[in-house]
Amino acid sequence: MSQPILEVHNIKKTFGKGKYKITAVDDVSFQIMPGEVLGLVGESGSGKSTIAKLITHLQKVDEGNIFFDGKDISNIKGKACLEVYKEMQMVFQDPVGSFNPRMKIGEAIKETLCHLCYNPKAMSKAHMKEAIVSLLKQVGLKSEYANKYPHQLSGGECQRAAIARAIAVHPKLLICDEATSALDVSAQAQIIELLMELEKSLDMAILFISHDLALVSCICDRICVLYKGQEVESGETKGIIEAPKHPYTKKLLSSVLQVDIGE
Amino acid sequence: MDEVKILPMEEKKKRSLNFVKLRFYLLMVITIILIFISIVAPYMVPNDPYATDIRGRNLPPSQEFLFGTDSHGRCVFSRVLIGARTSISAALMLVIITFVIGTTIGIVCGYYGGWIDNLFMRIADILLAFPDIILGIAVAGIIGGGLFNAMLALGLTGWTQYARVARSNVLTMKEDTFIQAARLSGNSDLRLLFRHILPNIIGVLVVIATLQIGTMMMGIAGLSFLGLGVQVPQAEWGSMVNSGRSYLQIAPWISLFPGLVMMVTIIIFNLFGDALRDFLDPRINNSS
Repeated sequence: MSQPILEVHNIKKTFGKGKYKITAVDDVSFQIMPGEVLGLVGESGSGKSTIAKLITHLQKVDEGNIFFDGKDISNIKGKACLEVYKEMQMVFQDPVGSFNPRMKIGEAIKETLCHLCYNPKAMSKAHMKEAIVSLLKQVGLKSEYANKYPHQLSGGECQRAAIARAIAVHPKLLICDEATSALDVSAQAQIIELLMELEKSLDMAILFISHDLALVSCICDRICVLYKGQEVESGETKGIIEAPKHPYTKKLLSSVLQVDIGE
Repeated sequence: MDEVKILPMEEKKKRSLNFVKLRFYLLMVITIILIFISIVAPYMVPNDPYATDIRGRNLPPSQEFLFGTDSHGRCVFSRVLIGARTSISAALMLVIITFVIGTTIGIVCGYYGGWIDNLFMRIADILLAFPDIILGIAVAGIIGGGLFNAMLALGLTGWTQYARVARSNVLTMKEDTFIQAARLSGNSDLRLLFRHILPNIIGVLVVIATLQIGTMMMGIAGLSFLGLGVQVPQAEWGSMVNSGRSYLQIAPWISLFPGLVMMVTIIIFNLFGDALRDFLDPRINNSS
């Protein structure tokens, strides 16, 4: 059996002190195999986003270990982080907010390319432009989007650009933190479609974080359900949907909005 | 019968927008002219600003001496022009230096927090507890008067404004998604601070800086008036107002004109600061 690309071991994260102490993530463990799509589901406040930030080192783990590609990355700093970012990228919930409002889309993608992919000195301007355009094309955006500012794009287009930025490094793992939650239903479907397409063509693993169990069950190979910072159930998607064991999972499943249309 | 015309929203917006823009450009031109005059002043003075003439002292304004002459017979108009150079350039320099230092301290404090933040913010608190002029007098008392020392005294507290505003802006901005995204793009802390955070907060700071020009000018003039800044015979508005003090009843023009010019200059710089703020405010002007 191959080695998991990401292995999270009993991680813990608390915020605040004393009376105001909140345990956001409590003893969570899971692993992702290469090329697999894992869904992380839970209601708001269940610690999903904190887990994403812990894995990407935007916040520090209090306890536990995170292994990425066999290496322990729970306490790395500085340069070592860059090495991890070359193989792990993230797409955020707020598409427009994840771009610097004063930077063109092309510049933002160029930053990733310069810092993480190529040696910018060894690369000509034309070459760099070509790389940006081909990335935009990969996510279904026209080349002129490179010269636009984030607020000139719609949410869906911006999220595509964010995905282009993330896949610039050819990541082995892509973390999508509520990547579709801020979009309307049709854009949501397009982004999901795009992600699934890219997952196959780039052969990357995806950690798909969402509150929407119905959506997650459609696209994920395995699901891990979180409740109040704790992992309550995990396993193959089919098993969880058909025979949920934990009462919270059952509740989540039954809380899917259903509309009956009378004929 | 006249029909009441209701402007469509777009049209309305366009008009107010034009006003904001027009005001900004107009004041910018005036400000530039002012700075230009201060630079070329030595080449356009009608009389030697330092030539004394004991027989022609306290002369009222005339064709030869537009603003009259002072108690030593020097041409007040020429001295006001030369003084513009001292006042404006000193104020500008002071603002630029405090702006750079204050902003740097502010964003570093806001971004890193911890003991650096505590240290600088407590220093700022202490400095803000002193009135500028009192601190200026203290500095002049310790290291002597002079323009440089006056600037030092004003600069000592001047940076705190930028530092505080920059710090609070960085504090709210550093949790923004795009900063996290930028970090994932492999940006170093330094690049994050100066390429991503700074351009997004610099508007507020520039406005403060423009408004500070007037304040600084007033501070320098105030210290000079007290004899702690620019020393006579060097021309400077504050010290010129002071030198005419004892002749106010017989030759009011000695104090009046430098004071008037100073007032107009400060008003122009302050108006320019206001116009700049409106110009950069996305709620009022969102086309930029």
